[in-house]
Amino acid sequence: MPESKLDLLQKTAELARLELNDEQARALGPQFDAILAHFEILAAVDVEGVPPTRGATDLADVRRQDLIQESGPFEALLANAPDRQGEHYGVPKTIGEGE
Amino acid sequence: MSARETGGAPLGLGAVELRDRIVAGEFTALEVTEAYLARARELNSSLHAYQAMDEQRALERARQLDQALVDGETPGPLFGVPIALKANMCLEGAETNCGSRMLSGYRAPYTATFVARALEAGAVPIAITEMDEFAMGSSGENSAFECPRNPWDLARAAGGSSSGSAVAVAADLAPISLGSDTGGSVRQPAAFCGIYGLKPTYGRVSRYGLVAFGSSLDQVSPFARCVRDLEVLLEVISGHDPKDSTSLPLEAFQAERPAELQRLVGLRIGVPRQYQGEGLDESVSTVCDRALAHLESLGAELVPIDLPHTRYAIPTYYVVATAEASSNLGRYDGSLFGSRVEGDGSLQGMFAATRVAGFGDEVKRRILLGTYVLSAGYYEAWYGKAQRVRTLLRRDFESAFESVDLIAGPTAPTLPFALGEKTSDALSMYLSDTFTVPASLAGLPALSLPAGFGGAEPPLPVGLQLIGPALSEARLLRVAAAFEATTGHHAQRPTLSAAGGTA
Repeated sequence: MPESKLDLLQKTAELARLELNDEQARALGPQFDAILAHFEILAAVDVEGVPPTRGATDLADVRRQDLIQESGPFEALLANAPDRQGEHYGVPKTIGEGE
Repeated sequence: MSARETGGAPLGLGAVELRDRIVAGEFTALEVTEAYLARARELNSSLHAYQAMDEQRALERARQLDQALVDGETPGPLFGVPIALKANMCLEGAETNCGSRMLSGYRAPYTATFVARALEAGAVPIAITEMDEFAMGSSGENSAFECPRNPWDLARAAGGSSSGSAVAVAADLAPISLGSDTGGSVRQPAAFCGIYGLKPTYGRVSRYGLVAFGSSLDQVSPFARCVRDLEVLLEVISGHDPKDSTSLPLEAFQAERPAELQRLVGLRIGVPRQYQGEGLDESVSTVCDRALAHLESLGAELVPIDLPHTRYAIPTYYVVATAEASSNLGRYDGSLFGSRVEGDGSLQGMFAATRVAGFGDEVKRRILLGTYVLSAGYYEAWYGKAQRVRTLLRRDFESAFESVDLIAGPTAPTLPFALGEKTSDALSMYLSDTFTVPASLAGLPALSLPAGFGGAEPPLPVGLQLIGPALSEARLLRVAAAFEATTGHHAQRPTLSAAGGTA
């Protein structure tokens, strides 16, 4: 596949927080292309004046009463943390380094 | 297979019959649970329907139910009935890994509303079933763990993504199970395995506690071996839930259950021209034509109709579903749950390294497609366009339902295909969803029923799909019941041996 398309795939992977090395991008590229080529038939559909369907029901602005309720099961939620730090989720430092 | 044929063991029965016989004192809930656990231990190594069984938990629950009956509590509609749950459904404390390495070891911190309702009705969860990773697939082959086998021919796909839940019911590892249907993930495996699968109207069943894939499409859906079980399970799990803002503000579904089966006189069944011809296997079309002729013999009128935008359904679905998936799966980055890979030590590095290691190829492919169609410069041309074509697909159904009561056609274009046949060609796998995605995009109820068998050796199940207007589940079930009462396809079961293979 042309380099420009490979670049596009790499850029998309970056946006998706997925890293693709060149080999993976070259393997994935043709499939990605074939799928999008099939999807191209959508371009021919006349949708002038047709509103979008954003959901499968007509429900809108669904709200609950603003009442204080018990929140999630704290311990059970934290038990799934990859890096639990006391009562917090631990993640790599994001500020302060190299600045 | 009846209880009598199995030497009195409580296997092979429908859920409602099983419940009634437990309540009548013929079996205890414990005996039933033990019998099903034993059968699963015997057969699962060749079928791979179940990824996990918590035997102690199931047995303890069965004992509690037996005690409750002794104490005079009123038994619910699924009292003592074993049920299998797809691995994307939350049951507090059970592993909800969605068939993915990303969530390997993740324990559900709470119980989904629909699971809680099944528990309240007396069901006994006995196993978590294998599935395509994050419900993306049509064969079960995208599971990061084991791939379920079709019980009619172990070399063939059981369909997907709710593969294990379908196999469990077809092979009687459980009388009933739950799957989730986004673009056909319950109907297609039901067709491949020769059982019933019903995708309810979008919003019928709460999605609270179902791990999200395509939020405007996902619906929790029951599998069963008879229509009565299917409708009872839908009655149990449906109804408004304030915890899901897309849940319809309606009471739970109630089936009609006419005193005697009605003929179908006056019923107009639309047969779409676009659901025939190119891409449809002859063996499938032969069985479906015969099934339609049978419905006609029961009094229904077959009306040829057009759903003119059908050819756009696959691209529309794969744009909408991948866009929603790329957003929903953004949460798996190693921060809050699941696995983590540190990467280069930075936060961004951890996100990328975790996602590259945690997701399988198909999930990555769909996240990439979804990210692409939502990205700046492409959004309107792809996602915006697909949303508008989705409206046209809805309108196709709306105008069809002005002249017919329901629509019927094949559930899947082919017989169950061989494992490995489509794994190297994603597009050809996507095309196997041709007949199921239109109803998903329109949010309509659709039921796959066992229509007969096609092909040579061994004969393989074929599903007939009934699609109805929004909230017409009772009508679909009534037609399925009339078909069931006058045919024997649903009663045929694969013969399985513990040694593996069909006997």
